[in-house]
Amino acid sequence: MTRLHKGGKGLFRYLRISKSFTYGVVTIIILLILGYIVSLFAPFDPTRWGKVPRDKPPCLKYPLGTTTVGQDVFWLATYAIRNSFTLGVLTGFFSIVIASLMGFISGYLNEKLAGKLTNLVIDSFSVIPGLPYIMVLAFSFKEYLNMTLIALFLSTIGWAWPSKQLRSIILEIREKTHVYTARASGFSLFNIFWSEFLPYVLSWLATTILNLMKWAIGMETALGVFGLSSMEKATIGTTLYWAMNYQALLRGKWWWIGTPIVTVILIITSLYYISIGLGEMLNPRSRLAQLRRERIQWLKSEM
Amino acid sequence: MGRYFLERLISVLFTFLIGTLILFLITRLSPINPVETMISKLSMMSTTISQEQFESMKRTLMSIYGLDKPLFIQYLSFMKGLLMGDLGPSFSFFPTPVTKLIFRAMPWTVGLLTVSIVIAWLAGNLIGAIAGFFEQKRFSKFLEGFFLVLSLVPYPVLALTLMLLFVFLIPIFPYFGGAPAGMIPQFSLQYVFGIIKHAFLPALSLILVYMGASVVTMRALTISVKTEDFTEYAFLRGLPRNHILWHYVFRNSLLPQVTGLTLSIGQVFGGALITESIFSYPGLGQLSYYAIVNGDYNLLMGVTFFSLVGICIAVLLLDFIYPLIDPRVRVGG
Repeated sequence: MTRLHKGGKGLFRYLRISKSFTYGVVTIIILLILGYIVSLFAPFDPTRWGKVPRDKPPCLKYPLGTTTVGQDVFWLATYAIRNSFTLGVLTGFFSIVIASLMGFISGYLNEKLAGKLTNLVIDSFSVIPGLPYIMVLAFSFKEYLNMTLIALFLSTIGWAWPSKQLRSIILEIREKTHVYTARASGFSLFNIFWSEFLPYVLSWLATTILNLMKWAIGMETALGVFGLSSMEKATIGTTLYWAMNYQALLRGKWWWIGTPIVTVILIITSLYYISIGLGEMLNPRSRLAQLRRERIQWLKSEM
Repeated sequence: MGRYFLERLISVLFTFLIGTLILFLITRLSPINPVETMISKLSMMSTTISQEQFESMKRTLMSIYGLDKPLFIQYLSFMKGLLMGDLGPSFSFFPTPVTKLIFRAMPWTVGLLTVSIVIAWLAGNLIGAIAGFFEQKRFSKFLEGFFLVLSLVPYPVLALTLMLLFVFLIPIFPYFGGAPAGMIPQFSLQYVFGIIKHAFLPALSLILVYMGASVVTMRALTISVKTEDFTEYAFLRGLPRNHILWHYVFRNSLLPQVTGLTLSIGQVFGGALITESIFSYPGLGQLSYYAIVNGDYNLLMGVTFFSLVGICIAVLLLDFIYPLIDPRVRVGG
């Protein structure tokens, strides 16, 4: 038993146990350093054309090669990572604010008219086909597009599914025996919220924000492929767009099109693993499974 | 019971109305004036036109399209047309009615998507159930990793990769279209084979993505059902493993997946915008992309109308069939 508790507490112990979570956290940290710290040291604005020789394959001077229009792919990628994270965080934040508000109102006031109306609005937004909707918005405001605006556009539709989930979570928790027990035992409303509701909502919150980030980054890639992203900014979508526009792969310039693809896969998989890991860590029920896993590992190491 | 269904029906109807209203307002945001696009297209064909002619043409077209009236009246007339099955003319293919364009594109999209979704759903759930039942085995972990990556890769990236691999590098599949060019539609082996050949890559990309998602969720569901008391009991009773897998675990894990299938089928009518644009497939998705870029609101409204109807029907259907397939769901409290 002593060995079980030796490996530190909370997050760090979890990091040691779940390999995929470790992968996610380490990758995200590396990407964040690349995007927000390394990109500050760019010797020139990587979105500008003709700053470096064209079509150079990866070498020591240009670690990820250069593009046909004379951009350094490495510095371009650092900017793209930063923009993608910014977009993801903004979309996650905006969407979760709307989703929490609407979800709480419709779940908590389920029997009242206000709750029913809110639910109707949630339903209406969640049946709207997302991609055409976003594309019309992006197309209409093409000249003004930047990360904040794209995040706002994405949030106007991204909140709908999460708030549907929150509503059903709240409806379910309201009926749970432990909530009734807490209420009957004279707990204050704040205490009920803090100890009975939050454990459920917290893991939902964490995984939903990460899922929204994942979704936003994927959507930006899709918009970029159509040339409807912020074209002057370096993003994953725009890098892909220009690479496709110059037939990068057909002409054998695999580093140009490969870099954004690998980057987006790294970002999305690491976000996914973190969301799974966090969801498990924050969910009281799966902490049991976690204990079981630790015991198995401990037994194995004893053998 | 009847009251519950009626309530659901009314609420779905309202959902649909609000949905169309939002889409209507959003499409009118487009900075492209379809009339000006139309006139500039016309003037390219003939000699130059004077400013006066331009203005009068613009006014005539605006009134033909019904764009000179206030937004609210436009919405009302759209709804009125809807009730009579008339979605108005397309702005960029004037005077072809929107419904005609949509019905021409619909069989391609519906055929492609339905087949892909059903194949992906069946295969994905079978693989997911087996992978979940034998979760400790190495092949199960491999399958999960493989399909997880598939489901996480942004779809355009996957589609582009397939396109580059099998159209440019190893040219075995055609570059665009839904049927062999210049061939008269007929029920011959050659024509059918041509259709399958054109649909193969778009279908493959869709199947891979849908399968990725359904394998991963089915694996998780199976693992959770496997630890339930009734499965434990079946093991203790000494039932054959195959029997437990298919009759106890698989059937109970399948239930939530029915929701996913119904919703996906409902979304079929929206078309697959990215797929159809990348593979130049002549379906609804391509039609709506064309409509967005050309400011053809009527066409876009038409396509999204069908997609809204599809999803609303799917949602309603779920409400109705769930009590039938899952006796645990109690209707109306």
